Amino acid sequence: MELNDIIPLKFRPTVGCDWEIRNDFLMYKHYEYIPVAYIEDDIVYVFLDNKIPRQMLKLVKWLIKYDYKFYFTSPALSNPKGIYEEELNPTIIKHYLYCYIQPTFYDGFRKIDFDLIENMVEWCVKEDCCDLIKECYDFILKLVNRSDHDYYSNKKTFEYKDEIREDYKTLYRDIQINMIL
Amino acid sequence: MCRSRAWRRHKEKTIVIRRIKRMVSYERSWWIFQDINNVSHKFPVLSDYIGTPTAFMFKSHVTTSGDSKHKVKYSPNKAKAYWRDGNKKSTREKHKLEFLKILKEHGIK
Repeated sequence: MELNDIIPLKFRPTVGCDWEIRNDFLMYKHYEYIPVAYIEDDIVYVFLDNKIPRQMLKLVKWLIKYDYKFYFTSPALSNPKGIYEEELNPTIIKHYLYCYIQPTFYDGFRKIDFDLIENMVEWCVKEDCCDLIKECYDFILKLVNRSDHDYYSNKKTFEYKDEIREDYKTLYRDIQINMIL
Repeated sequence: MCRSRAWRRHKEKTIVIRRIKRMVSYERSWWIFQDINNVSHKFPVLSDYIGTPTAFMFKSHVTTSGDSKHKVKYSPNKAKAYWRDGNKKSTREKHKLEFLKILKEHGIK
C-alpha cells in the first residue's frame, strides 16, 4: 500500500490538486500544508483534524470503501516537537472522544455509517491501554457539559447540542460493550 | 469588471493569511493558545489558527471606510472609493444578506 492510494480518486489529478505527499506524510493544502495521514506496518494512521473536517470525512469514506485498515491519531503528534511517551496514549484517546463530540464529526460519521468508538476500542486493545479510557472519558465529560449562565435573561446555555450531551452520557456503556465483543 | 469565483477565492485566501500572520506577530505572550483540536501551543503559528473562530471572522471582514479613509482621501482614484459599507447601493455583501432573508422567508434556511 502506498500513500498515493489513500487519496480519494476525485482528487487524484496532480494539476491544481490540494493533496500532496511530502516526507512520508499525506498533506492537504488549506492556507498551509496540513498533515493528514501516514502509513506504518501496512496500517494507515489518520490525523483526525478539526481544521479540515470535510476532507477528513471524504478520506474516511474512501478508506472504508477500499477496506484499508486504519486508526486515528492526534494532530499534536504531527508536530515535530512531539509529546512525552507517557502522555501518548491518553492524548490519542482524549482526541478520539473530543472529535466524537464535535458536531461536524458527530453528524458526518453518522452519515457515512462509521463507528468511531469501535475504532477507538480496537486501537486500545491493540495498544493494550483499555484501562486509560475511563480517565479520558471523565476528562471529556467536563468539556461536554460546559455551560454559560446569562444573568440578564437568567438562562443557562450549553456549548454542545443536547443530542450530543445525552449521547455522551451513555457512551461509556457502549465502550464497555465494544470491549467485551 | 466582475472577476471570477476562483479569483475571489484566491484573493480571500491571501487576505485571510495576511490577517492571521499579522495576528501571530502580536499574539505571542504568557498565555497558552488552544487551537481547534484542543491542543495547546505556547508559540502558535499560522497553521494553528486554521479553523478557529478568529480565522473564520477574518474571512468575513471587509475594508470599511474606517480602515482606509486616509488612503482614499489622498489617492488619485479618490472618486472611485472601494469601501464596502456606507451608502453603496449594490455590494456583494448586501446581496448576500438579501438572499439570506429570502431564504429564511421561504423556510429554506
